[in-house]
Amino acid sequence: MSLTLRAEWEKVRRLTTPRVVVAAILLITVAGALVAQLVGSDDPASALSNGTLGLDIVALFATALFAVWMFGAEGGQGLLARTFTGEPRRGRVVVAKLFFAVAIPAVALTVAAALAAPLVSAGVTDAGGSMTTTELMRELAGHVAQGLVSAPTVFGVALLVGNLAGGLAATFVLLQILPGVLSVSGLSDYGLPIAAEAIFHAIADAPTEIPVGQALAVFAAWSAVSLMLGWSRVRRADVS
Amino acid sequence: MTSPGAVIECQGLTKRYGERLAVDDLTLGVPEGAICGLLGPNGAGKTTAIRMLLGLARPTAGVGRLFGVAPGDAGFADVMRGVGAMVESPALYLNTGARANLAIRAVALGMSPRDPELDEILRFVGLADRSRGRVRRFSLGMRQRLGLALALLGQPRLVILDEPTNGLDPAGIVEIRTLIGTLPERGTTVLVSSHLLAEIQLMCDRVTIIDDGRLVADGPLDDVLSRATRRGWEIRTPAGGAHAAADGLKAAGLRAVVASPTSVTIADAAGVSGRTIVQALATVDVEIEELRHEAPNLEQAFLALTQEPPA
Repeated sequence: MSLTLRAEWEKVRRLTTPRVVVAAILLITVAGALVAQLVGSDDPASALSNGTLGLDIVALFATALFAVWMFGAEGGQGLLARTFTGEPRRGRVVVAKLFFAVAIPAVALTVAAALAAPLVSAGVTDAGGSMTTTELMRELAGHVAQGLVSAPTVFGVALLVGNLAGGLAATFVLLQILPGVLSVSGLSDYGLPIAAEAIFHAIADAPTEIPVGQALAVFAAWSAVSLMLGWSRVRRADVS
Repeated sequence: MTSPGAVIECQGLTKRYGERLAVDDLTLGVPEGAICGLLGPNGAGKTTAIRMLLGLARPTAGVGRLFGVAPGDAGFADVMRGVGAMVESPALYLNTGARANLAIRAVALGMSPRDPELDEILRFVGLADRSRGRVRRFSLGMRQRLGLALALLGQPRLVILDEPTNGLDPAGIVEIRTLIGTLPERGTTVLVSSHLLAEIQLMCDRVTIIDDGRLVADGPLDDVLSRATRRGWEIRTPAGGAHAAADGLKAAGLRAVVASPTSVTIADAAGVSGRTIVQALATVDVEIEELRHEAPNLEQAFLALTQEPPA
């Protein structure tokens, strides 16, 4: 592992926010599945969606929060100067941070989904349905992927804005307001939420709203544009 | 002119923010093993110059090099592994401990986060017993010590410190001064900016003075002092009398500078006798409370170099 990756890993390991995010992912996912199983449902489809609701919510918000935090927290506290004096090759720092912005939520969500799987399965069975292990795994993996789709774009926004508060505000606009605007404009097929949902459904072997290829292209385009804009700012900006 | 083999060198280093020139054509060199003081009034461009040297700010023109390598050049990252820096107030992870802050820096330097040097350096800066407490609860002085520890970790060949004694009590200032004084013995070159001129005079063997972004003086401390001050005079007046005294002295052709509401200094006083001064002050009817012939000091040199000379 390169020094830059090791340095970023050391931050992830020692600082509070990653621990809180990982704990929240595990707790909310498992608690959501547990509550759904305890409340029960007569309909297997409802039991499945209720059991994965916690995973859905935490996947989106925790991933977005973590992606903003990976860069924005340092930008707002003068810590970026410390990071860049340790590793002046800013591209390496950005790549290492992006790697962990995706990898940490991915691992945490996968573990959380694995922990919640027996509860979700039991809920579906209690509701009179049945799912093979493969079907359940694909369903949960789809939810994890859906949550992670926004991570590179949100990370790019954090690069562009440069601090935690601004990054979170911009992320809210990006994930909550912009899809509405695109929908009103008849452009919702080019928004991240539709792409994320299509990717989820493709993994879960369900019908997709838009073709998977289009969904991947939309995901790639949003990620690329956001990361390029963010990088163009970070590459040249004076750091205080 | 920069000297060959200088650890720090700037050639025409310039930074412009819009219409404002923060650093203007700065050319200087700091040789290996020196403790160089970087002086200048607030807003003179000291921190901007340091940030350009460290690759944190992009020069508008010119170049700054550390060990002959400029930011953006191949090898600059390797050079920076041998450079410890504290720019302005120390940037710290507040929700974790002092040792964790050092561990993060240690890994970035290629050291083990369990390297014994981490504990040694915490003892060195007097934070050994607070190594695990959250930095958020540290006083300003403790944060400053931790910032210094971060800059010194990994036994760097060059340490750049921006106002390292900010927030420290007098005993802490003496400790830091002593500590900085020992660094050249380890082969470390030091660039330290401070507004505490007496401290700079006590710890540095070279000084660089900048004002309005421009280089005013640069060289060995004794040379700058002798060039800027020779033997000076200090005149103490009753409250409010300093400006009138300065006017009278300037009218007599002397290079007088108001140092405070009750004191005027004449930095460049070669051949100026006490009688001349008394006669000049008599013409403006200013009472003299004390007239003192001084040895050159950095404060005097600084004032003489950074305040406008008499018309």
